[in-house]
This record gives sequence, structure tokens and C-alpha cells, in this order.
Amino acid sequence: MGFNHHMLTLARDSRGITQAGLADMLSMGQGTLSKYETGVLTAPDEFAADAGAALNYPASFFFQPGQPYGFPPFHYRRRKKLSAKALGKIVAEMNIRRMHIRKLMVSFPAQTNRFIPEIDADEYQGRSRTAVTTEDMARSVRESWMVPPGPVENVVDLVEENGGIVVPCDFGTDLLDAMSQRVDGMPVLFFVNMNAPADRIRHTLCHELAHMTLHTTAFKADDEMEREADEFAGAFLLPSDEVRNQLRRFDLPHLANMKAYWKVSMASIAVRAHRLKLITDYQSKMFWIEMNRTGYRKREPNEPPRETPKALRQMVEFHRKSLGYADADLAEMLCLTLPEFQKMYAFDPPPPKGHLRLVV
Amino acid sequence: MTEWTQADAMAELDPFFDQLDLICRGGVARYREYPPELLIEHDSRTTANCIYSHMVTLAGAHLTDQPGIVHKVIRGLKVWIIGDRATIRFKRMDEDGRSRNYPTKQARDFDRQLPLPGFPLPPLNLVVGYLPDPTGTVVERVQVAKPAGKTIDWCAAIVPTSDRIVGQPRWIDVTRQARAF
Repeated sequence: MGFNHHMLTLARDSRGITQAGLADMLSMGQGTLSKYETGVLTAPDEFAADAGAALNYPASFFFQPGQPYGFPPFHYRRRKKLSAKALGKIVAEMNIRRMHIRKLMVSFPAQTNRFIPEIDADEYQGRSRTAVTTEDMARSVRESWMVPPGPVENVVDLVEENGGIVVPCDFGTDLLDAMSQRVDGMPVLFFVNMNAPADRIRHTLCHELAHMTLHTTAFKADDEMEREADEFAGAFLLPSDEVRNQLRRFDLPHLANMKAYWKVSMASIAVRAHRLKLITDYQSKMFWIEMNRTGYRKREPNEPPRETPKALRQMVEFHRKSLGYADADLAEMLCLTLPEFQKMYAFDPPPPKGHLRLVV
Repeated sequence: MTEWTQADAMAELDPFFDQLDLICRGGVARYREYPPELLIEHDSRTTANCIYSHMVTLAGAHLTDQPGIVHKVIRGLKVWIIGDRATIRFKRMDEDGRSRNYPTKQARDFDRQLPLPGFPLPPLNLVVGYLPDPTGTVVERVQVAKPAGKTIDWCAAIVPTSDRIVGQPRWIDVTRQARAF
């Protein structure tokens, strides 16, 4: 494989550097760099070392096969304030992570026959006269995955047991919660911002699951897909028949108890209750006023336990322990520098600063 | 001394601040250990009753046998007499120090600062309780209030044991101030 011009763009985007900025760093004309990136000119081999040094990638990075995939806008849960440049950086990083997983999967044995279904609403409806709802589809996924009644104990485990891979990410911003990707020949990937509160991560993952389940075969308007994904997440985490029985009163103490049981934010429960018409518009309005007044809208108390992804860790550990890879070997395989590999795949959070140290 | 000020009353309780703090916070903490599927079935009254029971149990363990404290139960009203005069009971409170009672004559007399049979004279009836946060899951502060009929004479917050600083006040007056105009 010769110099892959897609990788040059990917590397530059992943560092959040503009084309002009990189041209300056390499003391070359932007026009030449542009031609290298678009493949109009073939970059000489020595250029890979220079570009790698500037972008902190080994030269081998630019000789990998493949090309980046775009993320359709409905495949990420983000807030509108996120700039296109910041989004481009994150998308590039996600593409690099996907390429890593593809390489790690070459030797790692797949451990499940389960899968994340794709539901076509028209097919699902069949000859039934009543229109199929998002609620029905959420129930169908719960049933096909044999999720018992009550709360989903661990959404991350559930998704991974059913063939997904949750990739823990630090997007460097709280404006983006998650991205998901279904690429042929690979498990469905969920890139999740682990800096968010645990209850938000659970909802986000189910929101992304909805996109992967409902919106890979049928395309609708963005707003409609977002609404459906939110409805699906609510229905998946809070089945209507159970919530209906429990929501005998609607106040913060009761919502806090329901939150402890369902491991879903009070805000999500309120939205779900409003959708199910268990509360009035006025109750919903007063709830949000109360949430703003107490500051809970930004950060709710009583966060449920954090759920940690395991699949990716298992892949890396399999290479380390069963296949005898050293970190340097893994870094070379993934075309990363060793420090970056160790930072990217340090699954345990760093110990808090200022802790006592035992000196023997 | 016939009319005790807030400072006098709080000085009387001062040696037992740690225990009062532990009893109130511990009662709520123990209740929060219930499985969530049971908590969902409780209404606010059941919640308060359960927490009250835990507080009384903790008070039995940490307060009843202390020197200078007498525990009495009069027709279901559980009170602890601290020092010479202060008679306390435990309740859930709002931020003004008000609590809710089923208005039996005995409860009304307690709140009106009237003497109860067998209690020291003149009475100083106080309510010690916890102020929950809006979700009811965390204690915002432990308070002592002196009821005066349907209103409150004064309310003080005990500085939590973990937040106390030597030389700094151990309690803070949190009585709601009336508007001047």
C-alpha cells in the first residue's frame, strides 16, 4: 500500500489543524498539500515522516488502507453549539478508533451470535391494521434481547452482549454525547462521551441504539428521527405499563425514588410521563421550573452507578495476555505513538492527585 | 431564669450536637438503604414515619442513656429531656423549622409551650429535625426549632459535625426574618 491521501486528511482533522496551518508547519505551499490530500499529486515517501512528526503520528499511519466514513447527522447526539471544526476533529478520531477496532478484531474471537436488529417499520407492521409505534419497536427489542421486566440493569453490558461495542471517549466537550456507526463487517459501534453523568449516558446509548435500529433502513426528516430516538430511549428504559402503575404522584421525592429504581434521570422520567399523558402540560411546566430553580436541570443529584464498557478492553487485554503483544507492538499495529496508545487505551481512570503514597 | 433565649437553649443542647446530628442524618441514611422498589411504594407520610422510627431507634442508642438526659414516652409522644428544661422531640421540618403533626391536644400543647404531665416547669419544648433537600434523599441541615403554637419562635441550624471549625459558631440562627415594611 502506498501513501493513502485519505489518511493525511484524517490525521490533520484529528488534530484539529487547518490545511493552511499544517502547510505552515511543514513549510510548504497549501496548494501542494491540498493536492496531496485530494490525491491529485502523490506525496513522496519522505513526506510521510515529516507529516507524521508534525501531527504526532508514525509515518506508517499514512500507508494504511481504507478511507474515513462520514457520520450522518442523526447518528450523533449533539447540541447545536458545537462548531463544525470541533465536530470534524471528533469524527476523524472516531474513524481512527474504528480502524483500530477492525485491526483488533482480526485476532479477537467474536463471542456472540446476537445482534442489534434493524427494524423496518413497514415490514414490522405487516398486515396489522394499527400503525406500528416507536413504543412497539422498543418493546420488540427488549423482548428479542430477553430483557426482563423492570429496569435495564446495565445498558452498556446489554448493548455489548448483543453485538455492539461501546467505545469510551473523551470528546473534550460536553456538547456531544455520542456517535454511532453501523459499517458492514463490523459490530455496531457506539462512541460515547464518558464525561457525561451516568444516567445521561444510559439514555444516550439507548438514543443511539434507536438510530441504529430504526434509522439505518428508513430515512426521515432529522427532527423526526431525533424525536423517535428519544421516544425509543424512553420506552426502552421505562416501559409504559410499569411506569403507569408507579407514577401515582408526581413530585421530586417520588421521581428521585423512581430514578433510584430505573437508573434514569428525573428529567427523562418527567418527559416520559408527559409523553404518556400521565401528567398535564401544567405539571410538566411546573416540573421544569422547579428543576431550573434547584439547579437540577444542569446536574441532577443521586447519579446511578457508572457503567463501564468491557468489549474494547477485552480486545486489548486479549492481545496483551493471550497473544503476547507488548504496548509498543500494539502501538505499532494501530499506527500510534506509544504515549498516545497508552493514553487512549488506559482503561482505568488515573488516580486522584494529592493522595497519600506508601513509601517502603 | 424563666424566659430562655435561643442562645440559652442552644447552649443547653450544645454537648449533644454530635448525637443530634447523627440521629437525624443517620435516620435518613438508613431509610435510603431500602431497596428502590420498596421506596417507590411509599408516600410522603410513610417516608416520614419510617425515618422517624429510625431516628427514635438511633436516639435510643445514642441519647437515652447519656448522663443528664431523661427519656419519656407519654401517650405515644416520645421526648427526651436534656439538662434542666429542654424537652425535645424529633420531626421532619421545612426550612422555617415548621413540622406537621396530627393536631392532638398533646401535640398542640407541646407546640404551645404548655407543660405536659410529669415534665419540668416552666417548659422549653423544642423540635429537633432534618430539612431534606427537594428530592428528599439528602439532609440539607439539622435544625432545632422552638414552636409557638402554629408558628415558630426561632429556628437554628446545627453546623454538621464534619464541617465544624474550632473557634467558629457550632450553630447558626436560621429564623426567617420578617419584612420591615
